[in-house]
Amino acid sequence: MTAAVEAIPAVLPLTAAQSGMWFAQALDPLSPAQNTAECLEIDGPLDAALFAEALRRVTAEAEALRVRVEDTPDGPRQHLADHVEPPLTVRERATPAEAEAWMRADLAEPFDLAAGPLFRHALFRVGTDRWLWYQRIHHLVMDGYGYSLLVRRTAEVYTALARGEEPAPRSFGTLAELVEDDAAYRSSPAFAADRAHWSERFGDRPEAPRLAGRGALPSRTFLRRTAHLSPETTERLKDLAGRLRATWPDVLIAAQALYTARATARTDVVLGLPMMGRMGSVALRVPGMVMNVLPLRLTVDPGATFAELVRQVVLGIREVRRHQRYRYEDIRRDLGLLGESRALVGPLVNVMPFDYGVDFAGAPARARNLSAGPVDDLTVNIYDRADGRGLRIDHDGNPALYEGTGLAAHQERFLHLVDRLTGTDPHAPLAVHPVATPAERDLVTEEFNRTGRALPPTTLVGPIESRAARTPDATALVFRDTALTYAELNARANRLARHLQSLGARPGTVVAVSVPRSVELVVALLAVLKAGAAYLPLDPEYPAQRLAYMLGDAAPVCAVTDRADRLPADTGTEVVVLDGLDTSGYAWTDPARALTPAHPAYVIYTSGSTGRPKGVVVPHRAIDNRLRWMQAEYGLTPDDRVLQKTPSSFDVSVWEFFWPLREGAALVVAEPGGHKDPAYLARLIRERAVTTCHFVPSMLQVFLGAPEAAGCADVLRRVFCSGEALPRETAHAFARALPDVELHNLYGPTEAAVDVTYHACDPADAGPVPIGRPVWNTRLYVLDAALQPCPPGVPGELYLAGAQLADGYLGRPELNAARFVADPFGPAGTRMYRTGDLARWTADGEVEYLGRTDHQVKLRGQRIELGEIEAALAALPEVDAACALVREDRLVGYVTGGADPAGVRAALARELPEHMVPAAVVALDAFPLSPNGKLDRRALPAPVFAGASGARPFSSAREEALTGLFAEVLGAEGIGPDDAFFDLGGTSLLAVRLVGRVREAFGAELTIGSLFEAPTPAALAARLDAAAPASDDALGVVLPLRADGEGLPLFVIHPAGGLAWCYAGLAARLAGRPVYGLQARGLTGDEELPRTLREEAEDYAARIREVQPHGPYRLVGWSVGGVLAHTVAVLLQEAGERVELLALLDAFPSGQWRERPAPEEGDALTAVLRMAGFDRTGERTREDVLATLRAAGSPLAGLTDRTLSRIVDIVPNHARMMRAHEHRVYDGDVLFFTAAAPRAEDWLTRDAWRPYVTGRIDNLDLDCTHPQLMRDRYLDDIAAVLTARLKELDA
Amino acid sequence: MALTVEQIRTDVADCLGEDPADIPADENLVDYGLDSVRIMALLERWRREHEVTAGFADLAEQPAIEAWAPLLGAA
Amino acid sequence: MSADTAGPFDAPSDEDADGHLVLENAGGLRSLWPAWRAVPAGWTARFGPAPHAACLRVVEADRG
Repeated sequence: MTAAVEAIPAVLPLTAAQSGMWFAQALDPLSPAQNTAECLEIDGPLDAALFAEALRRVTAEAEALRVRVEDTPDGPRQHLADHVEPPLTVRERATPAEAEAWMRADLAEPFDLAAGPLFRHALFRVGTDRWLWYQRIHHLVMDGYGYSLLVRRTAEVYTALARGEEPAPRSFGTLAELVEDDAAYRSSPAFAADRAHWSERFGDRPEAPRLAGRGALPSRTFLRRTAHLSPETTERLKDLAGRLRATWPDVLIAAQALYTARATARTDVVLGLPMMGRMGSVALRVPGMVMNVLPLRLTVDPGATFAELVRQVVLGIREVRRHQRYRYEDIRRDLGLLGESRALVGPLVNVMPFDYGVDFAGAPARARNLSAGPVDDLTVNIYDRADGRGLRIDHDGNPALYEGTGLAAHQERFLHLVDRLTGTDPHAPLAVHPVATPAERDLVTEEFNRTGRALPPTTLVGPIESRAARTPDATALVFRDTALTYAELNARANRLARHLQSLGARPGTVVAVSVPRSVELVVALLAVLKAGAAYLPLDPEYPAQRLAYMLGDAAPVCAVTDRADRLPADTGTEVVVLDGLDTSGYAWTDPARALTPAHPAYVIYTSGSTGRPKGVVVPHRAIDNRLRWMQAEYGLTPDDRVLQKTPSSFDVSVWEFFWPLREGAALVVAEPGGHKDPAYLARLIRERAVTTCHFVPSMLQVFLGAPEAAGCADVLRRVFCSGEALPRETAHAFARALPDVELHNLYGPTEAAVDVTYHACDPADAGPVPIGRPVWNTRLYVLDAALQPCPPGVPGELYLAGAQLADGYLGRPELNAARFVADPFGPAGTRMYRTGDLARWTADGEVEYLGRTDHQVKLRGQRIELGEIEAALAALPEVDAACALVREDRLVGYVTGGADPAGVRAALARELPEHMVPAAVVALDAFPLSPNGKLDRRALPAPVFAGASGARPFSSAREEALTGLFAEVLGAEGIGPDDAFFDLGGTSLLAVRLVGRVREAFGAELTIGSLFEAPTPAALAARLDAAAPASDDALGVVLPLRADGEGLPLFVIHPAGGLAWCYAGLAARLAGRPVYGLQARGLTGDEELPRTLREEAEDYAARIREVQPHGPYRLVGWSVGGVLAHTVAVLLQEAGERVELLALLDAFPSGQWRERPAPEEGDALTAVLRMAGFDRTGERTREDVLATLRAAGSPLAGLTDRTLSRIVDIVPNHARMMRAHEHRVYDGDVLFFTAAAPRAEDWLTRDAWRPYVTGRIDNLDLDCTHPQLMRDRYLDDIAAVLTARLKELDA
Repeated sequence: MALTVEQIRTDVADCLGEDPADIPADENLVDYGLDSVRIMALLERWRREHEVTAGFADLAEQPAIEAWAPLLGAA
Repeated sequence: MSADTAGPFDAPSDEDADGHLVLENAGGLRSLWPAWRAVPAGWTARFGPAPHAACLRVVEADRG
């Protein structure tokens, strides 16, 4: 160790560790997220002046505190100052609350990296002998271990000074050593070996386990919940660690892995481990930023033991440690995760065992962390401060992902789990541990399932017969012109039942029924039940092969059909043909039968995953429970009429048929096939006064879209939905169309007697529509991979138990044993049914359906929940209904409604991670439906993907990589190296993303402007090869939107904000023509803003002539740009040039504005926001506006603060100049485009141009507002008209 | 009681869950699973039982038994 | 349960693992059951721990 005084280089590059922090801060310069802070509670007298002196000395010793960081053309550099006076606030009298408030406020202040100092202190006296020492340091210069060095040294120096002694010398290492060490590592063989290790270990790019179910960008703040592991548990933890030959952090990491695995339904779990990163390194003596986060990958199998999991952790960390210098950001980059904004790790477990047992001249101090830096998702900070209080555990959450209660729940469960683990044999399977707390476990298994209700032992058909006896003359059934009373229906069914009994139908047998919807169908079903047999509905429209299979499988005693040729001929089943059958010889009274509630009532076939349909046998007990609950819940009365439109082979039809007949209501039977015709259904409902009906949600959406639907509002009382997830948008559409009608969402598989949960939709609700609570005598379990109950909010597989379970599948014992399994939570010896549905409990006891456990799709290794994409699509304003699927390894979205597909894609690109944005969106008039009314995904048309053909081979690897990035960002394939970004549908937003991707992939600086100048992969590659420095050209007065091309150029003049970027979309639509934007002066430099519009127009005319020395000229302008275009045109004409096109986009002459007050800066801010497509909400200042733009990832946010600030000046300057401007006369015709939607400024009229135009004003009205003119769908129209006009001029 | 090299080796092996014979004197213990938590634990034990005065950074800087011996008074 | 892993009633990636039981209740109903989870009250293990496929074969053989 030489401590010789050497000349310190005053300027140093950043280490890799610092660069990561720098980049994060650069993305959001005003964010305080990179603040770290700590508070030391000092118990004893303290001399504030001496303390200040100690801080001064330590600051002089610690180089990291004396730097500031500037961005230079060569990258960020840290400048080391010889002397920095530590910023220190001293409050000799403060209450603890005041001190806390001060610290909280200070913690919300961002540091200015370029200005420094990057730390500050405060000292509060909160009691006679009690002090709080607060320090905040930017994470770029300090990490947790660095704090411990600083604190120990400060205590040492203070103590010496207090004793009147000179502190012992201390030699902290230098920053130069860190930088050298870093550079040496990065050029060493170890670096390459480490890279290879990580790439190999994570080459399959596992998905990060997310407790919130999704990721988000880091926020500016974090939520924190602090708890302590009791001293007893801490003791047991350390004891257990000892027994397992591990450390207590190993055990806690294993506990977190177990929790994460269960709470995210995964066995492959990657946690993030913040590492000190200093072992065996000079960095041990350097207070600075060295720490790293490394991924720890674990397999959490419910059958393994905790001891085995801890062992995995020990060995895993050992392996991680061998490669710990390789940076987390580099691993992500190597794996290609950076570009996809994908995380590699789930929760971070940050263990800080650093020795903090310091004292200040005998006054003991206790440290308390206030901020450990930015929180991407969830960080569990664990501190052992050896103060006898047990371990302190802070759960820090990203507020974009967690709410306070959710974070508290994660913490509470973790503490419970640790408590359980330390008190349980570590050699027991992990499956013995639930992650729910005991209270949660009780809540979800017992409280939410309190549905017990004693019921009489009746059957499905018994109550119908009693009803027929009580109200024989009431109308039972209406079909076309036929109406049957209860007595008539009962008598017909009884006669047929007796006939069926004569053929062998009795309890425990099956009778098939294949009759189209009709009076006869109802009679036949009833007859089978009356005979005591179970009915097997066979849809007459099913293919013969399938019908034959079902007849063979179910072996019915006979089959009832309406016609002789209804069923395949050679099945051997005896057929009862109703047509011509005379049953008048049978008695009309109810037949005798030995039927019990345990006998099967019906057998319905469902599709099997193996392709072989399986017959579900449902006993009377189950369906009787279902109908008794339904009656108690919805109270059908004799004046109700229930629509029967569901095919009998679909189990919803069971309640349609039999619920009204049990309650004395009437059944209104729809025409065969009528269930697919919304207009017919609406008419039938209205004319037959139907009060109650059912829709599958996708069919409900179709129905609501029919103009006739609203006519049902007066007669309908309630509508039931089931069979698919009910989108909230559909529920809202329902409430609008049928405002006083109840909408109920039901859920259940055929295996549990139609429905087991119910939820009444409330028009005021938002978010996913729950499937609701369990019905009578029914229990729901949401279970994790260890068959332990998931607490509310945690997804798991849904299991059903109780009275409504089916007997099982006909003749499929192995399937029954695997789907109807032992219930560990219910009465002894009972079963539960495994639905295969993914669900979660809400906090108040309803269940939300999340999708299938087995229908997840994976695209390029990424798991995608199609439901999420569908919800995002459906939430867009002009989308009525949506679905998404994967075709040819590409995600495709389908929408109905008036939305423009390109606009939908762009809107989704704004909301979803890139990989979840469909590569194509297809707009349909209506979705294809399958026979039972469900969406038929296979019938959806294939999309046409964009992309040029005949692309040449790539000339370099970089060109190829860039082309890949273009394709990725644009979501199109088949892109060639010469295809231009904006011609392929690139928006300025996508341009920002592309620039970001290029930066990440090549580490190259690139501006949006570069993309305008080099819009093709080939051009961009050439540009990068030339290592041309980033330019501000996109802010220049002349912006070449397309510099090459055929024909005369089009000049497009900026609107009020001064930027011409908004014309990118227009340029893309004018393929092959050169297009130049004109932009305001002063966007970059210190140039003065023009004083008059004429001065500005003269400038533009001159610049235009530099591009095109002589006419004829073609000019376009939107808004203020139109006023300028007119003025430029006049100036050019006055100079003797010809102007052959003047197109004004919703631009109005100055005179119209003169009497109106000019906007203040406030309005300018509104204008800036509108340029970016936002409505102004709470933004008060320029800073607020900038923050909004950045937060939303607006391309304008990519501008420097200075430029944005200039725009805020340019907007009101234009407003002022407009009002002073005098137009002269333009000699020629004007092409005008009016944004024809109603506007506040209703006094604006294009006729005001008349005095200033000698020729015609040809107008096109567009149904949009002024700011919407530049949207894709309107640009299409504008470009079409412009193109036609330009072609005329060309000719 | 002063520490011996053998005692150091035994204690290190114990906290790593390895056999003392498998812990070489001249190799980087990080490769054997030694981490900051384990160093802190060892240091606590040695301070308590052997009146060791070395600091965490002293040990962490050169994590090998050979390098530790003089620092821990086990020359 | 999720796509990255077999659920408690699915065949594990190691098909030969003795990971499952066949349970039976008083009514003679059978249930597949993961060997690592306690057998629920009212059920008795009749077969296993054995490989998943072997358990299903045992159940299927009793088809009658």
